[in-house]
Order: sequence, then structure tokens, then C-alpha cells
Amino acid sequence: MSQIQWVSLAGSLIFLLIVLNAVRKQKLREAYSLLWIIITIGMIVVSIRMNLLRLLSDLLGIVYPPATLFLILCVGICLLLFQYSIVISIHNEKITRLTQEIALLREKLERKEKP
Amino acid sequence: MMPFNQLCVVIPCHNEEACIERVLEDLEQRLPGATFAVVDDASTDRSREKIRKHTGKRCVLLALPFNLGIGGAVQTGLRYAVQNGFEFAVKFDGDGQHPASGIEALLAPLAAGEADLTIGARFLTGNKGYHSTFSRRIGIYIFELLNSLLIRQRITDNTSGFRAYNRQALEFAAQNYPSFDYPEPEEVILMARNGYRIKEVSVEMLARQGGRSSIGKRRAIYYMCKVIFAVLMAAIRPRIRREEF
Repeated sequence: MSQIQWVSLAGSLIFLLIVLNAVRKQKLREAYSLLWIIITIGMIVVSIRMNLLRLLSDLLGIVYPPATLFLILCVGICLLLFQYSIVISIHNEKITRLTQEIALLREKLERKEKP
Repeated sequence: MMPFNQLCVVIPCHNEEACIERVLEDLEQRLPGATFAVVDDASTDRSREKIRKHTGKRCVLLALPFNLGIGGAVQTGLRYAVQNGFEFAVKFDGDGQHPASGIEALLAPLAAGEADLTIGARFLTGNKGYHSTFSRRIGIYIFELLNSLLIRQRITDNTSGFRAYNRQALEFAAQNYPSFDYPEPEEVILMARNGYRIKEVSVEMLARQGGRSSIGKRRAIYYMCKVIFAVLMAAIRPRIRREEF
């Protein structure tokens, strides 16, 4: 195994443990951890199975196999970021609703206080 | 004079201390019996104080804890109108650009059952009122073309925020009004696509009496891109079924 393989294997394993620990401690929701776990396991698999990485590199026309490793990582990160954009948009909508609800309830309250 | 006790006028207000009082006084005088829901979109000037002077039985202040933008502010007022059982609602800018005298004309097609949503338009024939700046008119023209093609009905003034709703349109808009910034052109598509009848009514607008426009020159390009995109997306979105809201 080459150096980059060892580094990426060790890094991925440590990271997988961090993710799993965060879920165990309920600091990370299961729904949001799934993409992280899939990406990390993908990284571990291609780190160990060099021939898999080479096969993939040949298919994609990449001369230097470790570059494929970075490509996989990049795609994974893009997916995660997109997921976050969606989550943020949903939160935006909810916060807007809450803000409106506060204004409406405050008005009701004020009306009750002064008859 | 028609009775206005079924009418709720929604007035979004963001930093309009210079003219909000005059707008309210004018409305109160012209529309006896109507309710005014002033939505203060977290103004940083003294707008809120000035509105408070007017609040009472017929004028309520809906104070947003932080700035939501015009879409979210208007939606707050629409939801107030729905919750309190009003039959009609009019959206009226807090900066004095909309003439209170136009409200009756906006309500007439709704009361006659000819339309569900009316838009106060600047460019219908024979209208001599305020016609806005040149660059803004180009934008308005683009929306006239785009929206008229998309809903197959000619709408000349898609950016006008001077609009009136009947109860059905009001209930729908309270739930589905675009709650982000610059919602007007998108709302036209949304309402038309969901089967609400739209009618334009000629209204003479005034130049703003104070405060600043929400759209500066630099933001104009962002505005056009964002709104055209939003309009196209609204046009290909599936219809919203009634039980969903």
C-alpha cells in the first residue's frame, strides 16, 4: 500500500469513529449522518482496494489513481453541501412562519391586556 | 359609500417614519369601518412609535421581531386577515405610493364576483399618474411579456404591490404567498396557475413621499435575475390542492 492509501485509510477510520460517536451522543442526527457515513465508508473501501481505485481511474481516464480518491471526496462534499442548502432553505421557511406567529400572537396578547 | 367593515387593509412598513402617519390618516378618513393591519418589518427608525399612536380598535400593529422582507411582512398581514374572518383584503404600501382613492375601484370587481384578485395597474390606457423610472419600466415591460405568455392573460403591471383579494384568494395567499423578497410578479403566476381570476384596474400611482426604495441600482440586476427565475419556477410547479393548505 502506498503512503496516500495509509493516510486516507487512517483518516477515514478516525473520521468514521468521530461521526459514529457524535450520533451516539445525539450531537448529530441520524438523518444527517448517513451521507457522512456513506462517503467515509466509500473512502475506506477505495483506500484498501487499490485495484478498485485503479479500475475506476482507468474508467475515468485518470492517470494518477490517488487523484481519483480526491475526486470521490469532492463529489461527496458537494452532495453534503447541497443537502445543507436544502436544510437551510427549510429552516428559513420555518423561521419566517415562527416570526409571523410571534407578531400575530403579540397583537392578540396586547388586545387582551387593554380592554 | 360601501361599508368597509369586511375589509382589512394590510400595510407593510419598513423604515417609513416620514410618511406612515399620513398614509394611516388618509386611509382612516377614506375608509370608515375598515381595519388596518400595519406590519412593522423590524424598522430601525421611529416607524413603530408612530404606528402605535394610531393603534386601537380599527388599527392593529403586527410587529415582527426581525426583518423578514416585503414578502414575509405582507404574508403576516394576510394571515391576520384570514384569522380574523375578513372577506376582503387590500395590500397597501406604507410609503404613500398607493392612492387610498383607488381602493374602492380595486374592490368593485371582487364584490361583483368578477375576479378573485385585482391589481392596481399604472399602464392601462388613459392613465396619467406616476409611471415610475425608465429602468424600472423596462423591467416592468419584461414581466408583462413573460407573465402574459405564461398565464395567457395580459397583465400590464406585474410589479404593482397594490392588490385586493376576496376571501378565497386571501386564504390561499396567506398560506402560499412567496415569503421571500420581491414577491409580486411571482404571485401573479402562482394565483393564475391555481385558478384564481385576476383583473387589472387602472390606478394612478404617486411618487413615493419619503423613505427609500428597496431596490437600488446595483440590486436591480439581482432583482431581475432572481424574479425571472422565480417566475419560471412558479410556472412549472404543480398546482397546489386546497386540502394541502
